[in-house]
Amino acid sequence: MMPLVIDSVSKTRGRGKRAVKVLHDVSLSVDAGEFVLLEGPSGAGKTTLLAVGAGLLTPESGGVVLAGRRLHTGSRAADRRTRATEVGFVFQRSNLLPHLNVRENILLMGRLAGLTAEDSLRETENLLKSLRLHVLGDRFPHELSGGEEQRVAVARALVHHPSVVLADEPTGNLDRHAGQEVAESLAILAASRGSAVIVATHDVRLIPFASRIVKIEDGRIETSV
Amino acid sequence: MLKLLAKSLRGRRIRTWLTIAGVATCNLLVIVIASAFRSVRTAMSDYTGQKTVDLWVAPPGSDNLIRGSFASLIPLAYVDSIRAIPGVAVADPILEAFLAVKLLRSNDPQKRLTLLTIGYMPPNGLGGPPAYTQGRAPRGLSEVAMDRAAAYRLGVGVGDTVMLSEYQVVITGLTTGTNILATQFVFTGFDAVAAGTGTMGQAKLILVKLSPESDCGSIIQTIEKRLQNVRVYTRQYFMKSNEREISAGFVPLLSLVTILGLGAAALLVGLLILSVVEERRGDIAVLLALGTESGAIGRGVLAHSVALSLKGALIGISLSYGLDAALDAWFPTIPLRIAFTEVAAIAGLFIATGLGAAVVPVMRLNTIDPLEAFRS
Repeated sequence: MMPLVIDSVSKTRGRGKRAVKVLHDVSLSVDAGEFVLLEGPSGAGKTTLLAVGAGLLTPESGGVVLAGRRLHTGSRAADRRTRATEVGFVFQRSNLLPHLNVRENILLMGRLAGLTAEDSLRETENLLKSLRLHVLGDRFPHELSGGEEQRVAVARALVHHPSVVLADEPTGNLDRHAGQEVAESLAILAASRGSAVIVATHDVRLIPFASRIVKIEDGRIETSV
Repeated sequence: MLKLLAKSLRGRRIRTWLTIAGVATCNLLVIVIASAFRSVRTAMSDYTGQKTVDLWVAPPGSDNLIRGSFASLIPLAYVDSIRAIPGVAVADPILEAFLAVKLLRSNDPQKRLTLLTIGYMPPNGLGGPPAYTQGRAPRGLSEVAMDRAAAYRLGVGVGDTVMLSEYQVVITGLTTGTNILATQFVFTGFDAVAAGTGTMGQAKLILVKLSPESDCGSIIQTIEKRLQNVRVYTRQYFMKSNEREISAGFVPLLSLVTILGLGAAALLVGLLILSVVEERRGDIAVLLALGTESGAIGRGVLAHSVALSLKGALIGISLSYGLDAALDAWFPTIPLRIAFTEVAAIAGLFIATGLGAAVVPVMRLNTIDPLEAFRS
């Protein structure tokens, strides 16, 4: 079973005269453990495609199958539950919750995905060790560097063993070294857990980690190599 | 998970604590007013509910000590008539009047109080002070027992001499449970009040103690039949009547202050929760994007709101007990009688208000799009 299948989706943003078609009949499928780079200029439709894939946006046409379940056909609550259990997110900014410490940020995601408190804590500690963040567990996001924050975001995205990790410019705000560390962490840990990864990015430093590069422009998939 | 969610939705610490302080102050305000009211009501009950008095004989239309009490008087000769009724153990008259008490040699108008003066048959006649904090009962016409708050306001104590109307009197005791906030009680000999008010040969009320196993109902009937223009009230009735009279003045004020206090607390909590929802849109969008049920976020916001109100209420309650002790020790003019059940009910009202105040902010959650997580 493919973790994510996006089949011929089209999506228009805005209404009336301001309506802009941002996705034109786009199809994209990813295999378990695959690391796909979604490359393209700003406004090409990368983020919209990620949002459609996660069930956050409903396409006008086409369909999305996430972890074997067709989205946008049942209840919103069911889509939300599928998203919570099957998707991990890494945003351009870490978007860690500022009043929770590192450990709690990761734990919360595990609990949201339905893990028990014990399982969530065990997975959190494992990831903190794997990412060499265990000494930072009690720190709050504002006490971390940008790279550390983003590695915690990677841990949050993987704590519940999602089918797919969707990352939107995860290294966009980081220097070369920190960006390299985050990309490595994401690639290695996702592969070890069998999670597929789709990264929307301009960052060429991520190319060595990619198993496939998909170029998107004006809402259309141009090439897939 | 709800705990983590509520924690993740906290507001800024300083703003949160200022809100809690505001709620605590509103809570304290309501508790103080309610406790002051309770104290006044209790003072009236303590005096009019003394177990040594079974019946209160009064002129028609005078069923309480505060109002209507000067409308008419009853002949002092009625006392002997009542004493002669079988089943009556003791019958004593009292007079009451608002009389000025001032320092012996002072022209300072601040050192002058108008007190509810009770003239009774000291030292052991019915209608004397319910309790003493210091000293003893007056024994003659030139002695008084004064409420301790009044003594504090005048700056006098046991052994000091003051002017009661036109007469010099020595303070022999300080009483408690005799402060009804607007005024306080002073107790002296019956004849002193009669002379001071020009009501010789008359009484305001006659207090009756019945013999054990006497028939209260038939004695009431006998008194009202034998004596013209009197009404006889049981202790319970007279006590309730006085409580009602006191409450009539206080309850509207108490209700108003309670509503205003709750309103202010609701605004504070509502404002903070709304600012949390508005300021934390990005974080809430992230939570929604991650798959958090919007109802769970709503519950987290409500839990946060209730926690604020609860903390405010607990601090307010603690402060009220501290204030009570401080007032009692250093400023006894304002009596407080804090009742735990009342305080718990007030805290419950504040928590419910906090819950209500969060409704609008929770509704605002619906305007947050999880896609904002990608833009923040």
